[in-house]
Amino acid sequence: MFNILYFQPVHFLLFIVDYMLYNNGFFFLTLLPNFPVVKNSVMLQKFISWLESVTQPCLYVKFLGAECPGCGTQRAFIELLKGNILESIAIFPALLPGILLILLLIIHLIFKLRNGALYIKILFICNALIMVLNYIYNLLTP
Amino acid sequence: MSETIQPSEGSKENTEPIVKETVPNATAVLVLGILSILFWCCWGIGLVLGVIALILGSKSKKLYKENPDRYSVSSYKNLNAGWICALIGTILAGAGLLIGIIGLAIGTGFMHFFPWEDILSNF
Repeated sequence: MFNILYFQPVHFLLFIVDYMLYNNGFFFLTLLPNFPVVKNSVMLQKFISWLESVTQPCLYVKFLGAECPGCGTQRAFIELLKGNILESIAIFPALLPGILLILLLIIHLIFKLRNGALYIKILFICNALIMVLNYIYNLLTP
Repeated sequence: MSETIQPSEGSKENTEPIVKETVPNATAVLVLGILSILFWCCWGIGLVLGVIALILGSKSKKLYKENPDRYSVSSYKNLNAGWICALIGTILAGAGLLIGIIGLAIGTGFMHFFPWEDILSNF
């Protein structure tokens, strides 16, 4: 119990300085996942190690030797859970817009935004474009 | 998902506001249409979800166009967005599956059985 919520006031100050020094300018990106409570949680570490253990080769890679358009989602998700957002974008850039899309969908279904359907449509088209361009880029650069 | 409209001046007896119905399966089509692109390459799940959303959405769109006054506009917007998402998702999933099948055929099948060496040696 105490391991999950392990927190000392000193950590907070140390981590703020750490963000500034580690990636200056983008420290706000790593603010949430690197927060000491999340980073030291045993549950999250167990979940990440479980995710890393259940990787299966994609059918496209198995039979064709080339990646499919959805390849890299799990690797990107693991990187995101570890707090490396830029690495996650480099592996599979459509994961973050996809998560945003699900969040927007849930918010729209609960609170009934006025132009929610339009926002969902625009984000969906952006997500599809990112996936297609990422796939073409991956095929062209082995 | 319901819009309330104040009753007109003529109907003073009916004091309850008129509640418009939602278009059937509007939220289901929206959810399925968005999930169709997120499960693009998971063993054809995206294609199945997209086709289901397209069929449901087409039925509901036909229902709405038969009498638009009965259903609320916001649910129709949801339905339309979901239908477009499902259309894009289905096209992309179908294209991905087609590329996979063509690649499998080229990589394993007829290119190896085709007598390339005989043809090239005769030139």
